[in-house]
This record gives sequence, structure tokens and C-alpha cells, in this order.
Amino acid sequence: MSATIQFTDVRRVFRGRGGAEHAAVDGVDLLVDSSTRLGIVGESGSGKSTVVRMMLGLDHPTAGSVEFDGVPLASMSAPALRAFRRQVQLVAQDTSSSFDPRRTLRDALRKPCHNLLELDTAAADAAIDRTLEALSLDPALAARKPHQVSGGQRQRFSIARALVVEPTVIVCDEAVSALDVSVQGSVLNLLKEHCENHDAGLVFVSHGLPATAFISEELVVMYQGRVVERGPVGRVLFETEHPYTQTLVDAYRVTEGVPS
Amino acid sequence: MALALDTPDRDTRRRRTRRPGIASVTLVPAAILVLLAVLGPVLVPFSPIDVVDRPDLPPGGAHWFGTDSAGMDVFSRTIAATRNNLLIGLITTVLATSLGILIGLVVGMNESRRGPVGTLARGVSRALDLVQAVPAIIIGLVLIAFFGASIPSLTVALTVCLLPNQARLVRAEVLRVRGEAYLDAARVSGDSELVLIAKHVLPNSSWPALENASLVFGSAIVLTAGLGFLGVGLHPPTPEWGSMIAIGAPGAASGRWWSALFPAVALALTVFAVSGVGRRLFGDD
Ligand SMILES: Nc1ncnc2c1ncn2[C@@H]1O[C@H](COP(=O)(O)OP(=O)(O)O)[C@@H](O)[C@H]1O
Ligand SMILES: [Mg+2]
Repeated sequence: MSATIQFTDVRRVFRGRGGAEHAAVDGVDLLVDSSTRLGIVGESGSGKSTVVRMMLGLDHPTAGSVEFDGVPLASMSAPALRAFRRQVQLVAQDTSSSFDPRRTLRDALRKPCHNLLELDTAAADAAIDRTLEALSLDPALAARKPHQVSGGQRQRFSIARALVVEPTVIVCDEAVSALDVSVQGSVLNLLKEHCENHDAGLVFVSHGLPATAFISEELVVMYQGRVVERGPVGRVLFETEHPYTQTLVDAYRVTEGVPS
Repeated sequence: MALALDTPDRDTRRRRTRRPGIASVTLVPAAILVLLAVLGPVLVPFSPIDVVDRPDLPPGGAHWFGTDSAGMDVFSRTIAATRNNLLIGLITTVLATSLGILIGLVVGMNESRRGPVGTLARGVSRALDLVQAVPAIIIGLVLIAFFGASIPSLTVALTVCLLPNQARLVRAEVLRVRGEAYLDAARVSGDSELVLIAKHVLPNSSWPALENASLVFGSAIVLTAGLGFLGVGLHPPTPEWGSMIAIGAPGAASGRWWSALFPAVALALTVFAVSGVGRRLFGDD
């Protein structure tokens, strides 16, 4: 078994103001590994980001378990967690806050090289430059602070930060949602190519069906914290079972002109 | 595609570029102040703690600022007091700011936790609000009554008065920074929580307290003088502006204005000079 993340009956409850409990994620089973590109789609508030945080060990289930190669992320030792992070990386939504405003982009990219690959600074910089070039980014830009590059460039840096350790699974949470449409296409293609060339798995999470359908092989549809539909992209799009999915697909047909 | 179109690059964070160079007029008063604090006591023409002439002499030839009701030289005492008042202000500011940052950081990072650590952090947070609500001068009075009037005890008392606000400022900023995406990104890049706090949370959340430091300094100076004026600060003949104003006040009522006015002017100029440093460092004027 290698690089498999398994969600078993995962539930994550948040306590709101006044003590009212609210299940952001409820009874979710998922299997993620390097063999597929999995899309998770659902409207805003359906629990996608909560799933992503638990998938990366940044948050833990209230009930059920999230395991990496059979070990629960919640009880991993520090070295095991580093080994996990070496394999599973995150590309977060581009907000101006995805990089520390006080530090250069290169500082941010050196971090995974130092912490996870144990490279010295020279070797880290070489790896960073290689990764940036593969993403058609000028390595000179890395000397800048995050607010000194464009949103599209910053998002590529965010991808570079994930790819620099050559992970076996890349998790993207709304990775292109904040970018304008022309930039979205190129970022999606970059991700897809990287996964194909490196045999890496992808978890692509977004509220938008078009981008998710484009890049994924398998689709999971989330609604109010639950998985309401899953299957190969073609089946979910054309033999929809759940009414919520149908509304997503209808909107997709209108915008993309997919034949019914 | 039905996805969001171009979202403008939002960078709502205030960009605080610290202008380099110290050759600025706003720093000149502060520089003079520091010089006076260091050299003042040796430059003054008369002993600042002894009776040197007849009482109540008006400003003139030998005594530029006149003599007070005891016959001490007002000029020498005003200059010599700079060191005491500045020293208390400076140490208080450093202590209140560094401890405030530390407490704000620990409270902000732990407040929403479950278990005893979270409860403790929330308790400290409430306590800070509470202390904040009591006028500083009252806290100062009580603490001085306990520890007696000396430079160390004044410094401790004023630190206790001024620390809560610093801690609260940092705590609020920590709560904001804690939700920033770059912290999760750093965790995914393999940073431990300790490294995360030291390298990202601390540098990004301590600036409100640093910006506020010049105000804290001003408050410390004014409070020191206030306690001195009330007679619970440094005791005469130790030169201290507040107690000098108190000594001079009765005379001022009957026309001998000099022995209260000069220390009051020194106090005002000091607060002004320090606020100049604050504006210079943080450019918020
Ligand atoms: N830290 C949190 N505290 C309280 N509620 C949360 C927290 N994170 C998420 N939620 C709630 O969980 C639900 C799902 O949120 P999220 O996973 O971010 O959805 P999505 O990414 O699909 O938009 C929302 O109702 C949100 O308000
Ligand atoms: Mg989300």
C-alpha cells in the first residue's frame, strides 16, 4: 500500500454560537491515491474545504477516521507526518493571504525543501528554479513578495510550492476559482500535464463543475456535508442520479453547450 | 465558463513601508532629549538635590529658571529630572510592549482551545479587559502603596497599567492572522507549530503593539509625573517633573509661575518629541 488516503464514515461537527452543533461533513467515505484524478464538486458551504483540511491533517474528524497508508492522521508522529506531507501536498485558493506578506516567495518555496526533503539552500534553490521553469515562471520573480506579483503568477507559485517536493497526490482547493478564465485554462492544463507526466494523483475541489469536470476522471458531488453522487465523470454528467447533481449539470449544459 | 470572472487582486493589508534614514527633523527633539538624559546631571550648573540659594528667586542671571520654594535651582532640577522620567518611560515601554506581545500571542493562539489551556487563556483575556477598564492612575496608586516609591517599583506599576492594552492589540491581530491561509500552507510545508508562531504569527501580529509603543511611552511619562504630582511618585528632592510641578503649584497661584511652569513645559516637550519618533517609525501622520 502506498500513498492512499482513506476517509471512513467521516463526520466533522462545528459548534456554533450558543452551542448549536452543525455537521459540516457527515458520513463521508473517500479513497484517494496516486492512480486517479478525483474531482469534488458542490456549492459553497457544502463541506468541501473541511474535507480538504482533514485530508491534509490540518483538521481532524469528530467521528470516523482519516488514514494515510493505514495510520490515522490524527495520531501520527512528527516524522510520519513529514513523510505524509512529502507525499501529499496542497494548492490552496489564491487569496493574497496564501503567502506570508512579509516574506519572499522563494522563502516560502524553500520551506518544503528544507523541512520535507532536507535539502540545503543551494539544492533547494536548484529544485525551486527547475519547478518554476516547468510552470513557465521566471525564477527572478521568486525574489519578490507575494503582493508584488499578479494573482495568476501567485497561484503558479502556490502550485510550485506543492510540486517542488514531487508529491504523489496533489490536493487543490478552489485552485483556479479566483483566477480569470483565460488564466484558469492554462493552470488547469499545467496541473493535468504534471499529473500525467509524474503519475501523480489529484484531488480537485471546486464549486464550479466545468473546471472540475475538465480535469477529473472521477467525480464526487457533495451537498450539505454529504456525498450525494459519485462515479466516472461521464456517468455523473450524463446519467445523473441525484436531483442536486442535475441542477449542477443543467447549469453546466447552459454554459458549455453540452448536448443533452 | 460559469466561474467567477476576473477578481481584482485584493490586498487589503496596509502596506507599511518603514522609511529608512534617521536624518529627519522629527527625530531631533528626541535626540536632544536622550542627550539631556545621559549628560544632563553633569552639565547642570547647580546640584539638583540641594538647596543652593534663597527660595523663590525669579528667573534671571544665576538661576535661569529661578529657584523653587525650598531654594533649589529649577533649571538644574528640570534638566536632571529628564533622566529619571525618561528612564521610567523607556523601561516601562519596553516591558509593557514585550510582555504585552508575549501575552497577546499566547492568549490569542490558545483562546479557542478546549480544555484547561483554553479556559486559562480565556480567563487571562477577560482579566485584560477588566484591568483595561480601571483607570491606570488608580492601579498605579495601589501598586505604589504596596511596593513603595522607587524607580523599579514605579516601573513595575506602570508596566502593569500599560501592558493590558498592548496585549489586547496583539491578541486581536493574532486572531486575524490565525485564520490566514499562509499558516496552513506553512504547516503543509512541514513547519512545526512553534516555528509557525515564531516565524509567521509573531512577526505579523506584533506591529499594532509596536506602533502603539510611542503612545505607551507618552502615557508612562505622563503617569510618572501624575503620580509624582499626587505625591506618591519619586519623592523630593529626587528631581522629577511631577513632584516639581506639585512643589511649584502653590507658588504659581500667587504669581511665582516659574517653578511649576518649566517642568510642565519639559513634560509636554518630551511627550511631543516621543510622538514624533512614533510618527517617524510608522508614518501614520
Ligand atoms: N472552523 C469552522 N468553525 C465553524 N464552522 C465552520 C468552520 N469551518 C467550516 N465551517 C462551516 O462548515 C460548513 C462547510 O464549510 P466549508 O467546508 O468551508 O465548505 P465549502 O468549502 O464547500 O464552501 C459551512 O457551513 C461553514 O460555515
Ligand atoms: Mg471552500
